[in-house]
Amino acid sequence: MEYSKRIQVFEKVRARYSVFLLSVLWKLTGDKELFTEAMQYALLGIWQHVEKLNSKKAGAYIYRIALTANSRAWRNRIGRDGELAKSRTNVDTDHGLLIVGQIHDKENKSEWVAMVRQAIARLPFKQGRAVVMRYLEQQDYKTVAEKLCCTEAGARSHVSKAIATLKSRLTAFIQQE
Amino acid sequence: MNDKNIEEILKKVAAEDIPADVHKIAQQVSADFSKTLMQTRKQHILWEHIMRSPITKLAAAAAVIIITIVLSIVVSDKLANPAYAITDLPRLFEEAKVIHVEGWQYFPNHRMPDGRKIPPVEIDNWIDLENGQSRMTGAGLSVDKNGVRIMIAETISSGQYKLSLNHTDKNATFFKISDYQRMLTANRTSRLIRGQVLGVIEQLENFKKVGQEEIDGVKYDIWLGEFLGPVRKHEYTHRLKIWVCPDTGELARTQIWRNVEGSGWELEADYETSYNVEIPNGVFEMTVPQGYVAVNTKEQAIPMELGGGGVGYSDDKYSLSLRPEISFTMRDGSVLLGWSSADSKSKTPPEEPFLGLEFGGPLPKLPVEICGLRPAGISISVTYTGYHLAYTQKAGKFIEWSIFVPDGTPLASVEQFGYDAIYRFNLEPKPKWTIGLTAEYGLLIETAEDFDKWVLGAMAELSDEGKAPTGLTYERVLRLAEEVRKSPTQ
Repeated sequence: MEYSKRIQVFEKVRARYSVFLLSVLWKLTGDKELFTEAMQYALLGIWQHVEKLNSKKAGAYIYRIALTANSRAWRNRIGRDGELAKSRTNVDTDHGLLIVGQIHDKENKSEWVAMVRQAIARLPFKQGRAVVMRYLEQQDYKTVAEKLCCTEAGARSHVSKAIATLKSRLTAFIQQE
Repeated sequence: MNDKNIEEILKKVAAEDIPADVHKIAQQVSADFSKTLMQTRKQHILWEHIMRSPITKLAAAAAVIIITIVLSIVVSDKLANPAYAITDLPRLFEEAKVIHVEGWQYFPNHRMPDGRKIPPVEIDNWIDLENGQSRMTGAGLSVDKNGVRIMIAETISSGQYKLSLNHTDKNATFFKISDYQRMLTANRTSRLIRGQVLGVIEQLENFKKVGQEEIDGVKYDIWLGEFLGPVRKHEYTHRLKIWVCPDTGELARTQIWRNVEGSGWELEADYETSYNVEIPNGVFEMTVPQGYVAVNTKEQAIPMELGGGGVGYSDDKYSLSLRPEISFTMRDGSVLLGWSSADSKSKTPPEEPFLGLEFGGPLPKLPVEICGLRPAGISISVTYTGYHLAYTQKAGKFIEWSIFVPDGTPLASVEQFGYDAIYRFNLEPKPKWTIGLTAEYGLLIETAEDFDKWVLGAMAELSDEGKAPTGLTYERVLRLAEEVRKSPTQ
């Protein structure tokens, strides 16, 4: 594709998905610096795969791009020891109140929410996409199934597997604490 | 912690309002990105833009992870046991039908005049081994006192033709390639890719597992190996880091680091490699991009000359050229080299040095004589002495075919670094010319079929008659090497 045409298509695709990326990446990162990084990766992903995003299968690709961008941003954030750099977490502490009896102080609550987000970033693609669609975009299972090209039961299975994966990872985190 | 807790957290996260300044960040990132796209056609500048963006404070690790799409190697069915051994990796590379290498090439050894690092160049190489097609990116530097110029070129080979795109000077040239060259290119390309990604293949057993990392939900072992480089002797100059899935042997990522004198380990290449993936439409399309000067058309394609780059020298007495045309390494470690040397100012007939030569005898007294070889870039002293095998002639040029027999055990490093030429001038007075010339390891000749296909094929290619000299066989050449080894002088 000619470069100028490619830029035109890129701008069209970016405009089409800007709200989606803003919403999903913010919910997945919850942190301005991480969000910025993920947004840059997402734009680079759009630029690299602009032809695919201008096709009928664009819907599937944009999720892949968003989730990959999020996962890369998180990977860059994780220290060599595999743990989050605590000084760099900056999330809304209110979410931590939902954790029952495990984490008490405010700093740890915010870290806990960050851990949930970090765990999402490490989910396999289909599970990650199912979680984003079902919970962050609040779509019903019928819509999730249509977008994942599977049955409703299959969609439920992806979501429940994702929750189970998250649970096991978070439980491991609690035990470490 | 139960499922409900997690679901509740997710619902709360979903209900969260997006702060106004996050909207602004998104707008600014998008605007900056679009602006950069408008300013340049080079993606490496995008990289530079990202790294300099005032609102970005990427972690140090992020600097090397701009493109990290995890693609899998299709592990061959031949691997009965899915648990990999690190030494299986070269095999995985060789079993691929399609190879895609995507990543960045850096220039750790050089700096911009103001001391900044040179921006990396994006590498996006496709090789269709099954159909003999390839699209390769090449990058080079021109460094002088006025600054640094990055040269980027791409070569698309498909069928009988090769299109060379010079992205720096914006021109395009078509070449026509023979069947022999097509076979050779496919083979070399595969080796090049393998070398780009895996570095010194034969030293893979030096690797140690240094950690684990989860990428997109898949856990990868991280392996690290350090290698002796070609220039600084007895010192580890290269470091190779690869991410491998312990269950399947899938390779997710490769980094090559260089130990730069004075500044330590710096990234030289960061690649992702995938195998047997679908080739996008148009990858091997031979179209001259808009805005590029077409040096010729497909119909006017220039016949591609076999052979590598040569060296030259000129003064008021001489106009010398020396060119290694093609080289092969025999299974016993001997090297077969086709080479040419000429002095265009000389009045001596060019065929004269070849008169009276014998198989296994001394080399022709050409103006510059490649009388020996030694392993490139290492201090261990193994010398390869040259003997005449045959000669061919093409378009007025004489090509000497010699065998170089080592006086010790051949080193594994030659596969990666090749051989330095040992030369002498058969001229008086001797020109004030210092030559640095390396012959490639070339293809490994292990059987009589290899010899007939590749060595005799090359001789025929470099002959006006399209035929190799008679009487040359694999067994005869191996026997000669053995006799040389047993001789007292060796």
